[in-house]
Amino acid sequence: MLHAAEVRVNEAGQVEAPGSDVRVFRGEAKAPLFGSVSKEQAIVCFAPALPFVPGESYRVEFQKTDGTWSTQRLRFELPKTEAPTAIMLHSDTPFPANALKFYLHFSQPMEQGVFLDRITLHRLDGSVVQGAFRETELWSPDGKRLTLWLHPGRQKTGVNLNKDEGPVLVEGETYTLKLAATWRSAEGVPLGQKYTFPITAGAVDHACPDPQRWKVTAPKRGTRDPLHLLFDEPLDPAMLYSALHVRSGDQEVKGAIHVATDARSWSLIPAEEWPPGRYEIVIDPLLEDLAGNNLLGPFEVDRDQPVTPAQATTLRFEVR
Amino acid sequence: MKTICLSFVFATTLAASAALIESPQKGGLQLKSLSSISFGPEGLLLVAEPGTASILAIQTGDTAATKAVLKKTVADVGGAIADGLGAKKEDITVKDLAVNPASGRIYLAVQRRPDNAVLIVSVDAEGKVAPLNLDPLPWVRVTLPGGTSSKVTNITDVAFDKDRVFATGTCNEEFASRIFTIPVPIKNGATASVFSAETYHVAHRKWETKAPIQSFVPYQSKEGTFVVGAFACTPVAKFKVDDIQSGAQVKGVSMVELGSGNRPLDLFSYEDKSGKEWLVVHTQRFKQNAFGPSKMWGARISMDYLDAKTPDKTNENAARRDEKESKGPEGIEIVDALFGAVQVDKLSNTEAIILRDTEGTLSLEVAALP
Repeated sequence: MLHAAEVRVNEAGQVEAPGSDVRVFRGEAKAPLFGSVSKEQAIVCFAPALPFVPGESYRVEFQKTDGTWSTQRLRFELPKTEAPTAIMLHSDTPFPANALKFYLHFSQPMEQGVFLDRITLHRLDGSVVQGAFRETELWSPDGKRLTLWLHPGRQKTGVNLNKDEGPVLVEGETYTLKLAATWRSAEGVPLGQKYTFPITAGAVDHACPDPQRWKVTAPKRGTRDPLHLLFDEPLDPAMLYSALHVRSGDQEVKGAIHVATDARSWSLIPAEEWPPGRYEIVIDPLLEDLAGNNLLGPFEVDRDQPVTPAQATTLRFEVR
Repeated sequence: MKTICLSFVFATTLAASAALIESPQKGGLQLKSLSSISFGPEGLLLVAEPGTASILAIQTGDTAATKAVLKKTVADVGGAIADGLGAKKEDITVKDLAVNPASGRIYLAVQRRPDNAVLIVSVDAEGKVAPLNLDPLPWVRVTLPGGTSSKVTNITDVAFDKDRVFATGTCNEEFASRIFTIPVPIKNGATASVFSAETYHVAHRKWETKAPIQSFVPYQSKEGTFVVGAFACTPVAKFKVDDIQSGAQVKGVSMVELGSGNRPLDLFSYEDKSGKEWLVVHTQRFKQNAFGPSKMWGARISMDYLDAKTPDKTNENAARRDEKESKGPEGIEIVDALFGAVQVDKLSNTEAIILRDTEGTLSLEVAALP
């Protein structure tokens, strides 16, 4: 941070100046910043309503004890941190053409409120798929994961938008998801390079996930070997971290969960060695596959047809 | 140390609405995020803080014997807010707008980029913009239920209704809709009840949607208490919320369909000069509007539609508006004043406050309701 000689920024992020009054403006703005002014002896202090913004310049006008006004400028430099980076899991695995959402993971909390301007979906010929995403912006609490919904009104068969505009993804087609290099972290540092993620649209999926088709590999007693689940299709990678619980009687097995990057497998490494015995994997019935089908029913429900939910929401295994 | 506060605070009636909140906290409230704001009685400000999945109730003390209504349009309110927050105009988003019915003062929930910092500002009758100073105000926080059965990461709307507060939410993982209720008085640290909400897409009886409620109003009729919610693409449905247990699933009944390609933003009801009741749905079209000058538009719907009970007038048989037409069906009318509106709230039965975007410049104005 740079600041002028007569004014300073204290540890609380407030501007201190010699004199009896102070106003702070951004750049050449006519109206001052929101905030409060306090005085102690010959020092006047300005506390902004929100912290000063890195990368911005401010004009500090302060009234000296002799009644005259003086102006000095402050500049808050961008932090010397690395540019944020972005990844999208499964980008080399075909998505069902009726996929409902993608997850974008960033290395730093990102600027919010701009994702529709910073993310575009392109066809193989370079043309942009217009209106591909739902406008609702959903970030994880740490601001580093964005849930990017493909427009449900277009992805859902037979709904008006689907009829009028067609689905976002067409089976067999290849797309590229692009992130603009100008997208900034919350600290104001841009990605600095364009990110591209290939997407291939596979067959549509209207079936519920079926745990009976999953393969369970049980660990050996007295080890901390992982309990391993292999799915017959990719499942929602974010939900997998909270949707599966391993129990022995009333006791939950605590440990570290790992989800494969293609979301086709899941493992639990227990905090303690496995005692021998019978175990149960309890599955949250709301667990979805990539097309929004969960264990209770497919995303698209034909009201004239009975729903066929998954036959099991628990799996059993034995540690020997 | 003497402090001169350049924000505003009301000291008049902080004790008057004591019955609305219980075990209030004082000081130390720092807002982490904002999505929706609205008012209860006696200047009680409800704030949805999605980052913490919680609802805050703040006693602003902003009450007055007579309402002081905005006297003239604030031509560049976005610029005034940006100056106050030390940001460029394009780095400011007004997330929501609420009029305090106890004073007429306008409140705006604002987010700044790139740091995503949030602040609530108010606009007085003279058009002066000032931040709400939270330091001296009593407040309570209710965190919405967590866990896999009800996790919520976005709170789409919040509203006060006599003896409880309603909120609607969505999740950033599974595709589902939730309705929360919090009893009044709102007790700090209390638990909300949660209901899963499902409804049917009007246009296609074969297809069920669990789409999240975007905006809602509580609605009382002879049949009981309802949440009337609007969904993208754009069914308006009602959910009966009397006597249901927490954790239950509420099936909605679709009453009106405003047509595909729309995203509802705000709802409010009012009574016109003849005594007829209307529901106003403020909406954004996904693409250019075929029946008006802006993607942002709104319609008023006769409340008669919401009282329909028989299957021949609900769900797949609900009234449908043709999104390519400027008129019809009877009882569903475009509100011209809402073209270009990015935020709107009811001021009275004759007027609404509108935040309008004209080529990137935000203005705040009073508009007459039809």
